[in-house]
Amino acid sequence: MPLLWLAQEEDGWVTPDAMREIGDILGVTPAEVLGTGSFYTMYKREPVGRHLISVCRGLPCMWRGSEELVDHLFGALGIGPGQTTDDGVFALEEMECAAACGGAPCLQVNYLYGENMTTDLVDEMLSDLRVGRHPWMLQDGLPVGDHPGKAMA
Amino acid sequence: MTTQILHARLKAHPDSHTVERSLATGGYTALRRALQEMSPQKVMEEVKASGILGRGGADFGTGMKWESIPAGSFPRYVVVNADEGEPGTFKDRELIERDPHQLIEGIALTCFAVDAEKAFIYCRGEFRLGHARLAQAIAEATERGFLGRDILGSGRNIEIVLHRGAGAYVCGEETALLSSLEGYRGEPRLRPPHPTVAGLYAKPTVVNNVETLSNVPWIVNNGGAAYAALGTERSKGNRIFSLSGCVNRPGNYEVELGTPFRDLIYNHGGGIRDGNDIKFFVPGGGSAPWYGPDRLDLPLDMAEVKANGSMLGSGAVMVADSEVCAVRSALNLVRFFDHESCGQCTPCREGCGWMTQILTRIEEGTGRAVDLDLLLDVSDNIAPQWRWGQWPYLMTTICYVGPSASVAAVSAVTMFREEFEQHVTERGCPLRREHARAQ
Repeated sequence: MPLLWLAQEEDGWVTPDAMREIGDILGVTPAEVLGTGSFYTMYKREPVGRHLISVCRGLPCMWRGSEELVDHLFGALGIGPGQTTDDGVFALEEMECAAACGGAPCLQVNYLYGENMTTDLVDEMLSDLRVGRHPWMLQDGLPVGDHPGKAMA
Repeated sequence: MTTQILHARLKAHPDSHTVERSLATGGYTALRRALQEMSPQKVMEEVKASGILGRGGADFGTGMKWESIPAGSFPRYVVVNADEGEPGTFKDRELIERDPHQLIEGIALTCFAVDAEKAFIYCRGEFRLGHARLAQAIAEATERGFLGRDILGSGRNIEIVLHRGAGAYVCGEETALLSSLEGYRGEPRLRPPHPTVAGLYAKPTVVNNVETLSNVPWIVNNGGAAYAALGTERSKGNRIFSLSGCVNRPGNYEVELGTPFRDLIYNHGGGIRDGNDIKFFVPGGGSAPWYGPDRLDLPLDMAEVKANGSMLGSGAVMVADSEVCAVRSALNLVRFFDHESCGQCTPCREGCGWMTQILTRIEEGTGRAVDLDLLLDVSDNIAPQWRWGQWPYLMTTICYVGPSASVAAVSAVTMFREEFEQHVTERGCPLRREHARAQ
């Protein structure tokens, strides 16, 4: 798994070439690498947008409006969960309970949290991201990653 | 206000995650004391005397788990389950992000007690900040001699390996976690053998939850008896409860076990939004059978909750008010377990999918009258003969993922059968239509 992370950090997603290389390093077949890799939702097997927005669809978030957030993002970006915008800037997905139910509804951008989200806050977040600012990353003192794979940085 | 064991540092200081703050507020004093004045057996005895039960959800005695490591079998490992993913639970993330040194000290003490030299933290992949904070804290602790070789001149070595998960709820189940840590798909294993006998790389392994180990420094400093003086007869100490849903002040609250649900929800949580009534609440994370408001005066006590047909599980209390649809809530949880099923056991792999489909059509207005019993029938193939109000259940699967879907479905159908029937006869969700009209 650390090798899969490394590959994703390099390329932004886990490419077939990377899986072959990992197989060579570990002495297993590429199919075995795929077998492990495909079990985990965070390993992306196709390119994803630079800003991966993961909206929590856990029960407390649903009770507090997460479905409206997804609808709103669909309206604002023109993409549904599992899709990336044509310019490659945004990707949208729904994630399982993000362990931030105290700030429901919540979402993550490249795995950093935005809590107590509203449609207005989502709009603000999108315009920040469009000009390359990350609303929470800087606040947490973490470097701005240029794609979700860099999340380890 | 309850004595704060776990939250003391992080509630008082915004920089509680730094090594400087930790050291200034008693961090690593328990480790120093244990290494200088105590034997490993003594540390184990104190933890046993504390009566603390694992805070991950299985309520197993921590001291007893440590003791069950077979003598003379080396190497042995300590594995920390930081793969918090149970719906409604967010206590471990706060402990990791805001007080990583408390956890690391707990891990070092555990290694000392069970005579292990290597520990692994399996950190949930989505915890990017938590992972960064843990990595930094491990580096700082190593630099200051709390980890590494010959810690604090004791001649003991303790190394912590930080592992990053990649998005799989089932890896919070300890045997799946071990499979994942070994580099495989995160599929649970049959027990026995238990991990304490043959765990990671088939070596004796203690797997403990973040909150459990974060208690250990306090127990060593204050003694097991002081910890056991808190709580109730069968549920000792404090616990952090993740309160969420339709309450005014959702959040993590560290309270003494035995506190009533009502106190948690109405005093700590500030009551229900818009002054609404409670329709139902889930007392212990997404896997726990639901409760009606008639159970509000039950104490937060593992044994009491079990005697009343549910479990405190991971300590996540999710509260639904009168605006919430029971069908949609059950669908949300069942779909979650369907998504997270590892696919190993047929009843779970197929059954969760079927239940999701049935609930979806009921919620969307294409359900049939027979669907309710069909739902119960599918559920019965995963958790045979389980009825709402009973605990525990029988299961046809290796782990608890599949039966947890049954638990949500059966709870909802049993408690809110009329609402389900209304969905069928009115061809859709009555609550949704009410909302649409109101807007």
